[in-house]
Amino acid sequence: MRAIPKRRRAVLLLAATAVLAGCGGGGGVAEPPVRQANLSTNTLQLAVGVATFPDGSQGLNVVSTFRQPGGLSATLVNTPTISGPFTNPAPASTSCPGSSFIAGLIGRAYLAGFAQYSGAFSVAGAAGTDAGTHTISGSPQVAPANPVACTSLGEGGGVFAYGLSLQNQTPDQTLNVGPAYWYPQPLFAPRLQSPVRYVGGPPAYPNVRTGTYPAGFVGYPQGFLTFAIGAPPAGSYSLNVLVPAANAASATFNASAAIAAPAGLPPFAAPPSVTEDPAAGGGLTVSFVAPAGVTESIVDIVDIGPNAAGSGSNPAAPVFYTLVARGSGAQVVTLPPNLGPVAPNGSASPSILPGDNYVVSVIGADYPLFEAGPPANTAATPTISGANGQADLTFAPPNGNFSVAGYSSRTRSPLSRGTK
Amino acid sequence: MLQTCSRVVALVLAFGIVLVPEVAAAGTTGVINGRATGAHDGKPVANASVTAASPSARYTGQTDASGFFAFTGVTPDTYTVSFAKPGFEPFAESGVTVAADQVAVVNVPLTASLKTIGSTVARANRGAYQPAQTQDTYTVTTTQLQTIQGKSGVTDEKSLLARMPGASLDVKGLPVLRGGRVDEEGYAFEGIEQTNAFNGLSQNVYRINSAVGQLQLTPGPGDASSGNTGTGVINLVAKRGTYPAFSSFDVEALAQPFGNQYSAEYGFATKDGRFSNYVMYLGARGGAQYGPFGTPAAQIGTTVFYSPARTFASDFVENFVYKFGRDNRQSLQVLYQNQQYDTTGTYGGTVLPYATSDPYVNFLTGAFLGLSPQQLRQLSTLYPLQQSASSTLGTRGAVATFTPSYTAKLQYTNSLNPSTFLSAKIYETYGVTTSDAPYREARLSTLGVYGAEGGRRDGVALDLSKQLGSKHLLQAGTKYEVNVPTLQFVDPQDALYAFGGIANANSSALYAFINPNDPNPALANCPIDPPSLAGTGRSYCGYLTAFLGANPGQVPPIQQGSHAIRQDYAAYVSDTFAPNDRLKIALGLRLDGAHYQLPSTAGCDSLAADTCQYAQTGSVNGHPVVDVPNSARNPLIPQPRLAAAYRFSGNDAVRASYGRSVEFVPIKLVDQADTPAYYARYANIPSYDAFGAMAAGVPPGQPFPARTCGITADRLCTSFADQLHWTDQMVASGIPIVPAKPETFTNYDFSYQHLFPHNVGLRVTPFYRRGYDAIALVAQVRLNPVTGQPFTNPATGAPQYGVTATTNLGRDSTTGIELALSRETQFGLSAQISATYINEFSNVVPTSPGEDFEPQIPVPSIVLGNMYRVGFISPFTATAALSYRTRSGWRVNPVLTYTRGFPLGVGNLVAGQVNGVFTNLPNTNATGNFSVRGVGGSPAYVDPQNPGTLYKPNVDATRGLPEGASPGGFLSSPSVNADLSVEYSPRPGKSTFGVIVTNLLSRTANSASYFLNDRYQPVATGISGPQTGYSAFPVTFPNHGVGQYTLVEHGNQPYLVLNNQPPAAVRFYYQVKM
Repeated sequence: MRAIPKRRRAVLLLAATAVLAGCGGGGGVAEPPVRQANLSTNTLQLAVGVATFPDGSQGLNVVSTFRQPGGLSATLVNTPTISGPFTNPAPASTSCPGSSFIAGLIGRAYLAGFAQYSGAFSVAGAAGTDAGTHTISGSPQVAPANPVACTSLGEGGGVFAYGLSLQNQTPDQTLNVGPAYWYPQPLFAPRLQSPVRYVGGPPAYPNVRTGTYPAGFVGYPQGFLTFAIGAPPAGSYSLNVLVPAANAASATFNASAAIAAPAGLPPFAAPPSVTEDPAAGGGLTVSFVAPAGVTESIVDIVDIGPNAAGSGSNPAAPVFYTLVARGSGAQVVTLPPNLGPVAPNGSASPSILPGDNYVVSVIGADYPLFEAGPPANTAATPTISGANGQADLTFAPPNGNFSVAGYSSRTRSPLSRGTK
Repeated sequence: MLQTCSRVVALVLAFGIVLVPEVAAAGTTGVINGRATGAHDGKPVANASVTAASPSARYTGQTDASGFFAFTGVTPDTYTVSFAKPGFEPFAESGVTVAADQVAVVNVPLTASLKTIGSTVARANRGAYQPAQTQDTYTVTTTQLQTIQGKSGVTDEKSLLARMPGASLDVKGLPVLRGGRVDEEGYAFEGIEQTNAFNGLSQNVYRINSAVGQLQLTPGPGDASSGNTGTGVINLVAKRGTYPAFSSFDVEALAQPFGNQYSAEYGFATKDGRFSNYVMYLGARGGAQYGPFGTPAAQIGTTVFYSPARTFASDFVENFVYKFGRDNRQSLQVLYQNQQYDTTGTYGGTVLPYATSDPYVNFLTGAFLGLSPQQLRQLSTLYPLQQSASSTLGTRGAVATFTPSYTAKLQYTNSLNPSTFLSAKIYETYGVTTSDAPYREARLSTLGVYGAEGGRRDGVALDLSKQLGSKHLLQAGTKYEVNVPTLQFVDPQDALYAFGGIANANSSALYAFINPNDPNPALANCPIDPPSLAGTGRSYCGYLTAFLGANPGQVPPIQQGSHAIRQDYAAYVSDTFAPNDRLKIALGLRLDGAHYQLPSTAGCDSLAADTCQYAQTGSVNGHPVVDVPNSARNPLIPQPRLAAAYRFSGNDAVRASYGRSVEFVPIKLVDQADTPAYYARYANIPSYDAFGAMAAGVPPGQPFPARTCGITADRLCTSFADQLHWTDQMVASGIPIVPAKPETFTNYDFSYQHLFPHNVGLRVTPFYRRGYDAIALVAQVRLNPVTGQPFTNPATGAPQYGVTATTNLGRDSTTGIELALSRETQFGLSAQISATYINEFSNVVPTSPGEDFEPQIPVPSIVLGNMYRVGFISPFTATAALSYRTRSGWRVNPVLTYTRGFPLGVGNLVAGQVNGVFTNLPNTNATGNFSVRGVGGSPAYVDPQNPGTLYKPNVDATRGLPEGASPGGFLSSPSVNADLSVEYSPRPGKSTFGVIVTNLLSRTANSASYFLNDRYQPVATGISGPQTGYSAFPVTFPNHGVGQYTLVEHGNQPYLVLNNQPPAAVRFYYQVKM
């Protein structure tokens, strides 16, 4: 091999250095190749209808889905705005503090237009800047300590796989699940009306209180959010969803629906009848008569403690159960015994623990309320309206064994009697 | 582009033209031996006189009947070895470089006439090619230091080590040897250990100076003379005075950021060699630059704001040697080195308030404790260097860290005869780093701290070398050292947390200091009183006023000290057997022992329960205490060393070694304790738990002792002092004394060496190392003191964990390959090329905080036996240091370094626990609480409405980057860095004018290239939400607005590039040599 003259070697060295200098790219290291989602594959759906409350009053029911092709929630942060021919009647009295994640759940509920939810059904709805307008909206997220817009749905409100909830992601990346992340319904309810968090549990939905589900996750969404704005006017309603992004272009999704039959479903004639299983196991039998027009009813039972056992990494009460009945007329459904949270050693616990308070709520719907929701339904565009093109609901007066402001128990529990 | 760069670098390395490492271990003298034979018949030439002479020393002797000669105790230098015998032509071999603890072999053929002298076989030094060397050691001389660092007089030891085989920088930029952790390696100066006596790190913060005449890097166990060096040792040998004398002056200046360095050295010896002296002084002042010029500190990243802004360094070395006796065979050496390295911590701002007056602390502490800023200041003591509650670093002008250190040695040597060398020395070394950091490392999430840690080491050592005939070189030695730790940790702010009951809700002692009757209403407020007490004149606050009067004083700061003096002792013996010129076998045995002098246990039984912290039994008065078995208190580790070298031909050789090595547990990990004596003022005051009393419905003023005392934090405290002591211990200090055995390593390595034409030496060394009893911090299960069984979470069945303790539950094993290629020439191209490949596994979770230093392992990961590829080092690094010198006086010296990239990613799996069963789970924000990084370290996010199970989550979004199964599953971008120096030395002349460009490619991203953003707000895969990057807490710093700082701190991308390294900088220097 022919030797390279020394002088040329030096030149080669410098040349090599220069070539390597070209690798510097001006001194920066490129960001890793992040795979961005294609937001355009997401699908937003809206259905609206009339919600008939136990006292016969009516409000607006909003059913929405915002999903990826596989059925999961489209995004983890978004800001919705509902518009329609209604006028938001809620007062604007809520003062909105600066955005601060340290405020936690209290802040979320507060921003959402509620007084602090602490188990006592004391709610005074407010709409902030939505008051007197034709909109019900959420607040765009802002940096901590900056003022956040006062709105009906608050900073935490977004549209997910099945309905609106307070589950907008926060940068601390905690999993926002648990009862406090569901809106108490109906929104804007006057004080002493019955706002309730509707969450799907076993046996209709999988039992998530086995320790194998994420901590704090208590059940599945049922997709509807009702607003006590009075009988909703007929007309076209729209849902606008803004997906804000820090490192990509923001995206906006729109969906619309109409109320053509503003009468809605008739109210329940009576609260459900509840019979407690005299044997151990905490089962219940619930009887009710679904009004005409109802195609399916869901019976949501909530063991609100104080004794409900936790399981796995899940805390204790409330524990949610759901039963489903089809059609209208007389219905009898049964909550099996021993469906309660499963202990770490695998042993079952009673569905309703002795001495616990519980609430039984029956909701009649004229659309496939249960079938459209997760985890069973993984369609991107599930059917969320009934034959009349609406999503109407009717709520029976609650029953059970409870004592909260404005309500008295209809059923005295033999289990509770036995413990008192 | 990066791939292209990788290829370019690979090509440069593959065809790199020149090279040069050398070889040695951990002492101050070496050996020259060899054989004289007849050039015509190969027979031994007996009784030939042999002289080895260098500017610093001279040795004389004779060949024996076999023609063999040996000089032991040879001062490292470059020698000319000459032979003379009547009837034979005089012969001299020059350029024989002796390194400490190395044998330079000089075999010569002597001819009987003036005809052609046969070719010599001088094996003393051919860079990477060291056929007679049994251990894997790399020696760097001053000339080679210049090549590797670009110029002489560079003070950065970290970058120097990173450019040598077997060493690399970890993800924090600290040097490690063969993938060991940063406190698992030894640093020595003149054979004296210079690791920090308390924490095991480099005592002099990784700085060297121009007094270093030789650097020896020994990755692996080394020979039997090396002990307590873990994964390897770096030994620096000081320059000595010479005849003729030498001196040099070096001045260096940097314009942006401000910087200058100047050093001067002078060495002389008398002509007869009896007196020699060397003295050196180096001073350096510098500013700091993080990221590109002009970039505000607040826009770079968390670690920059309030980082060191100025550095001050002063080094002084004095090395005096007096030789006496026949042929100057005896000597006395007095060595003294003094170093000072200080930094200020105000980068990005001019004022830096102490924690007692900054708004963040007021917000954070006050919010949790319900205290006003006035109360915080009233209750908090000042930091040791703080002058008032509102004082700042900027106005005080104090330093943020200061590290004084010194080493002193008195050594006596005696060459009893040319083949017998005796050395005895007494020494002391000291180094303490004091941190005065109002914001602890400028992190938002932590409060201020004052700490001083380090210590003093005093020792004596005796070494003996004896050449027995031509085939055996015997060595033996012993040493004794006393390590006295220094730890002064003072933290008034964390005391408010700890004693306020935030971290330990059953010991809310802080409120006892608040006087509810204080005439100042702002100070009288008792935050924990229920409304029902309003107007009653009663309060859960103010408990201490009944005992100490209206002003019960301030909350005592958290203080930690270290009391465990460690005594080290060692003995070794070795024999290097050379049956012929080709084969050399070294057998050695070393014993290293330590005695942790823990505080006395006398009187334990008379103390209340487990206030006796250091009992050696399992319980005192029925309560568990720390059990420190003898294997941890008095470890004694035998370490066999076996090595062999074989030369096949003149140009090919192999070597192999096996050795066991040990690293004693740093005192920091054994004894970091609160002292009950701090709270003597409260010894006679009954314990009081304000929260507990209120929760139990006990009226204010009635006794309610805290149940938070003892090792298991469940014993009723016997006094208020007992309560404060154990609260401090559990919240801040951990278990006071923990039993941990030293980690031992089993090392195997093998080298193939080849000498190419033109003195190009090559050495390739694959190695394997297995660690036993590796140190890891693990949370301890809380035991019921009555049943002895673990406390469990009734909901999950999982055991409850308490404090974290040092354990031997770590596991690690490492394989790798080192490559060294070297060439050294006076003119033309010299080179030092090195490369290191590391494949290391450990049960420490990769990329976890502290992975490379005091690693913590989650219990589930230990139970599952998870092993990971480590995340704190790059698997491959390489350096090509090239120096081209012309006869006209020019020298061009580029240094290219290549790093394959650092492991990144938090991994798709995390060790967790479901229903009491340990298992590896998908790592999402549903299971992120198991992660060492918390939920913020999750790579995936589940659908909040339909999250799926922990085993099969419904992942709704990710960070948009594919992760490996384990943390650290992929590598960051490869990087290439370059330095370039050009200098001119006019001929004739003594001056050198030079310029060195550091970071020529202006790589400002830090070594890991990009980081996981733990404040990522997922919208969808790879798309972040509007609040990505923001902290949970609004923070107002004196110089910055909330929004900007918090966003920049965490960025708005799922992964971040922090361009916080200094950009290209040009330094001009001028040197004079005489």
